[in-house]
This record gives sequence, structure tokens and C-alpha cells, in this order.
Amino acid sequence: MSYPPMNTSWLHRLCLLMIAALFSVWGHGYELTIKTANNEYKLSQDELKELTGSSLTTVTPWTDQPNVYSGISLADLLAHYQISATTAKARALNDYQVEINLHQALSAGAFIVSHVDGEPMKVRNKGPFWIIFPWSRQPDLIERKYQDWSIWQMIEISFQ
Amino acid sequence: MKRFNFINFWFLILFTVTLWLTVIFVRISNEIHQFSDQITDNRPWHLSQFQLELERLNSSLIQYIHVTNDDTRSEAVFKVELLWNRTDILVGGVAGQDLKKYDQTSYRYLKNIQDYLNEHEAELYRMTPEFARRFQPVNHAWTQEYKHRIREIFQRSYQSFHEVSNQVLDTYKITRLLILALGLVIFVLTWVLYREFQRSKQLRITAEKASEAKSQFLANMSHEIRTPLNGIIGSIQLMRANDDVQDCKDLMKTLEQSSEALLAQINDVLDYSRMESERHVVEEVPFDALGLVRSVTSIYNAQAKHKQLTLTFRFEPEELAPTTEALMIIGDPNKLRQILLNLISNAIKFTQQGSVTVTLKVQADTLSVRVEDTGIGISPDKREAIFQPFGQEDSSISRRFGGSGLGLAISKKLAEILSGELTLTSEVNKGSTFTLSIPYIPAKHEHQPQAIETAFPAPSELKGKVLLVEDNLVNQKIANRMLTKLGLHVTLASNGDEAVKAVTLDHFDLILMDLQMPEKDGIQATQEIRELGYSMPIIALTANSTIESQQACFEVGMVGFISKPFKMESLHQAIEMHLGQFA
Repeated sequence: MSYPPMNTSWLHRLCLLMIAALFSVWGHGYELTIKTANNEYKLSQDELKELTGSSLTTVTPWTDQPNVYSGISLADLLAHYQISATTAKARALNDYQVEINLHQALSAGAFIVSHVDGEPMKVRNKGPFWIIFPWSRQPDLIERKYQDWSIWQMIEISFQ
Repeated sequence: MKRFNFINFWFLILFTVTLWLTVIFVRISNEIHQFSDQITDNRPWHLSQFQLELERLNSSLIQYIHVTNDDTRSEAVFKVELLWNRTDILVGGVAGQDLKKYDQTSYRYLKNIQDYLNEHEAELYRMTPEFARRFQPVNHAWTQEYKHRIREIFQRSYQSFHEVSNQVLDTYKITRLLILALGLVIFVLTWVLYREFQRSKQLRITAEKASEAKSQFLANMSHEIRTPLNGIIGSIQLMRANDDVQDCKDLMKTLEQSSEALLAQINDVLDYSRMESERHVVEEVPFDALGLVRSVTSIYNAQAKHKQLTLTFRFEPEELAPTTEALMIIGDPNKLRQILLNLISNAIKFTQQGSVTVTLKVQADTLSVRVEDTGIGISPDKREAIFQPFGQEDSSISRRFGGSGLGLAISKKLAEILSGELTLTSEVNKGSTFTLSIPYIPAKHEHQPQAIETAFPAPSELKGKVLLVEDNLVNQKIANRMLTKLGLHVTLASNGDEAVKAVTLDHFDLILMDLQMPEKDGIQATQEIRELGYSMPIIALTANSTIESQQACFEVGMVGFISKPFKMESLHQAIEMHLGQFA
């Protein structure tokens, strides 16, 4: 059986394209832009995960099972960049924006996560970044205010 | 008692309603909490976003199919991911559970999409133009179906929302009703309590007034009794120190007048309490009304002259009637006399200068006596009160003019007993006019006017043995002397026991029995004497003159009743009557 060279070359090219495409998806290179009054930082999903290496296990109002979410607590993030602010404006991939009262969000234990069950979060899984709260530990946080602040597919957060 | 229960009943209702309301409030707050829980997942927003993602993916796919390059491809993949995320949100969590419960079809529709996406995960991420061409119609079909379903999905997703909202609304309605009921109960209760408060306040004021009036009355009584007593005691002392017969006769006159005044005062009180018991018998005897009114008026001649008042009597006979010297009618002369005595004595008492006019007017069937004076008059607001017992115009009046304050109350009562009325017109400082109107029946035959003058009966007219039972030595002495003077043979007993003993030892034609005595009282003694089989007449001789005590006397078998103080002639009459029966 002989394969037409044209065919082989097409298949080969297709494979290459597939790998490239996969890479382009997996490592799409989404970054979280952190803006303060004077500075701007950018963090990839892995970089955010490695900052403190902490994680939060919880069920969310949109999921049925508890998952392990990795990332950094909002408090640690602020400490890390020595940011002092009262409000945060978060923006999502689809330009959805929300304003967060930092004092309340911090006392509720807000968490910015980038990985679920060890895997980087994809856009289809509310990635690349998601703000969550420890709902399993504190069910009284299942409240509209906190759910509104739980912005998914977040790519930018600016502190004021 | 009934009122108290009524208040208790309302308090119980108040308590129940309040308790119920509390329970309802707890329920409503739970429901509102649940309601806000329902709102928290923001479903309508997700639903509309889902539609948006479908449309966006559709246009991205078309774009990619037409212009195939890396940019349009990754844009299409990105849009797939966004749709995927939305699908997961609608199918998972609380939203998914609710949708599964209320709208199986829509849930299956979304689950279908989720399954398709999971199944084709690798292909979706690869997103070859070929796959895109295959996937685009699928996505288009989803979009079209969603357009048709969206209304229903929206409605279904609101279902639980609706249920809770209706529940909350129902609870709210109950609460509203309860609050209204509570308000009503509180209102009624407050009103009742207010009424109760007003009533007790009124009662307190009335009681205070009554008590005040009674104290005042007692003070007046004391004064009115002490005045004649002073005359009596003073006269006696003077008589003891005086041997002159003429002087003594003068003093005796004073003594008699004072005694009469004292008796009149006491009789006023007794009359009033007797009338209160509503057992008044109206006499029906023929008497000369004209003579009576004239003579009563003339009693006050001296007094009027002393105060320099003109006291006149006028007679206005029925038209066409022959002028007569006497007007014979059938009625109760004593009551009529008592009323007139009161009215005229009041008129003179309260008039300082001017005149008092007594007019007897005869109409078809009404006899009216008008007593006009030019005295101080009575202010309109006091016209009711002066007819009340113990109620004089005010306490200063009684200090100035004296009197028990019972005269008008008695007169009014007497007028009512005689089926007549006593009315008053008055002007302050001009004078007052009291008018007594009573129906009358003319007497058919001319009768001899009743003798007013009393004469001592001839002594030694009576014969017989009398047992006098009396514990008070003074009364014993007086009765003994009077009875002896009447010609009777008297045996004395100081109490009930002695009386019973005496009856068994000796024969008596008649017994005079005091009621209030130590050891054994008159009632008990009479009972025992009757039980022993003695049937001689027993007459009560007592200072206790109430209707009740009279009743008690007749019940145990007494035949007569003489109240102290008594006059010799009444004693004579009573004894004569009963001795005669057994003679």
C-alpha cells in the first residue's frame, strides 16, 4: 500500500498544526494584570500559584463537588506587593467588571485561584483566574454580594 | 365581676394574637431569607448571557469558516470556552438542581449541549475548519432552539422564585390581618379600660360626695338635736331652782316646744328612711283641705311676724263653685300637712324680707298649693340637688339656716306617694315658688273636721293588770306613772327572762314589751310566752321604729306597736283597743 506523498505531507502538516494549536491553547499565555496607583505587575497562572503555594478546598455555588483550588489569598497578594487600598476593580475576559470592597472581601477570606485540582484553569472552567471565598467553611458567605465579587475569567485587578 | 371577665377575655385575645404574630414574624423572616437565597444565584443574568454566548460563538464560527487563520480560530475556541463555562454554570450547582426539578426539558437541552462539548473536547480545541463547518450548524440549531425555549426557561427558572414569593406574600397578608386585629384588640381594650377608669373615677367622686354629704348631715343633725336639748335641759334646771308656779308653766311650755322640735327632727330622719323602704300606706280619710292649709299656714304666723315678713293665705276655688268655709276631700291629711309644713317653714327660713304667700287652688281633679317667697332663690344648677337627700344648696346654707337637709327630699317623696308632684321655679335673689299638685277626690258627705286639739283622756278609765317589760329605769318610771294614771295595775320586769317568769307566776291582761333588752330581747320573750300557750295581747313599746322591726313584732305574735317617744293619749288608745278585745 502506498500513500500519496501529498497525503503524507498533509497529515504531517496537520499534526504539526495540531500540536501548535494545542500549545497555543494550553499555554495561551493568559496573565493577571495587577494595577496599583504607581505600578503594574503581570503574573502567569503558574507564577500566581507559586507565590505562596497555598490552596483552598471548597464547593462553590456553581459546582456540585468540593475541589482543591490553588492560588493566593487576596490578603497575601496585597502583602506581597505592599499594596494598601480600599477598593479593587476586577475585569474579566468578556470585559465584565466588578468593584470589590476590600475590607469586606478580606475579612471574608477572598482567594484568587488559578488552578483547580492541580490543573491550570481553562476559560471553560472559569479560568484563567477566579476570585472565590471559603464557602464550605463559611456557608453564610453564600450571599449575593460575595457571589457578585466572585468574578471568573478574570484577567485584571486594579487597586485604589 | 362580669366586667372583669370581659377585660380578662380581651387580654387573653391580645396575648394570643401577639404570640401568633411573633411566630408569623419568625416565619416571614425565614421566608425572606430564603427569598434572598433564591435571588443570590442571579439566574436571569446567566440565562441571558448564555444566549449571548451562543450567538457570539455562531458568528465567530462563521467568521472562521470564511476567513481561516490563527486569529479567527483561537477566537472561535475562546467563544466555545465561554459557552462551555456558561453551560456548566446553568447545569451545575443550585441553578442546575432547580432547573432539573422544574423543567426537565430545558435541563435535558442544556445537559445535551454540555455532553456534546465534553464529548468533542479535543476537536473543539483543535477547531479544524472541517470541524468548524460541522459544528456551526449544530451550534446554530442550539441557538434557534434556545430562542424558542428562552421564554419557558426564564419562566421555569423563576418558578421556585414565584413559589417563595407567593409564600412570603401570603405570610405578609396574614401578618397584616393580625396587626389589624391586634390594633383592634388594643383599641377595644384601651377603650374599655378608659371607660372603666372614667367609671371608677365617677364612682369615687360620687362616693366622696355622698360621704361628705353624710358627714355634713351628721354635723347638722348634731346641731339640730343639741339646740332643742339645750332648751330641755336648761328648762329642767331652771324649774328645779324655781318654786313659782307661773314661771314653771312658762318653762314647761319651752320644754314642750323643745321636745316637739327634737321629735320632729328625729321623725324627719325616720320618715326618710321609712320612705326609702317604699312601704308607705296612703290613708284615705275625709278631711277639710282648706282648713288644713289655712291652719298649717297660721302655725307660722308668729315666726313670720318675728322676721317682719308678710305671710298670706289665698284660696282660689274652682270657678262657679260656691264659696265654702270647708273643702272636704278624701285623702291623706298627715302627708299633705307634712309637705306643707316643710315648704312653708323653708320659705320663711330662706326669706329675709318681703312676703310668703300660700295659695290653695282647686281645679277639676287637681289640688295645688303654691308657696311663693321673696327669698334668696335657688340657682338653676342646684334645683336638682335640693331634692336629693342630705343635699342642701351648699354647706354654707345649712350653717346659715339650719335644717337636716331632708325636708325637700321627704316632701318630694311624699308628693310622689300621693301620686302628685312637687315642682320648683326660682330666680336667684328674687325668690322661689314651690308648687305641690295632687289629684283629689271630693268627699260626698260633710264630715266633722278632725280635732286638732288634743285633750288628756279622763283618768281611771281603764282597768286591768299590765306587765311592763322595760330595761331602762327612766322609761320604766315614765311608762309606769302613765299607766298607773290611766288606772291600770302595773307589774315591772327588766328583761325578757323576768317577763317569761312573771307570766308563769301571775295573770296579766296585757303586756307592754320593750324590744332591745339585755339577756333576752322582746322578740325572744314574746316567742317563748306564745310557745307556753299564753294568748294575752302583747304590744311592742320601742324606740326602734323601722318597718323591719314592726314586721318582726307582728311575726312573733304581737298585736300592736307603740314607738318611743309616745304621748299619753296614744298609749291610752292602743291599750284601750286591745284590752277591749279581751275584756
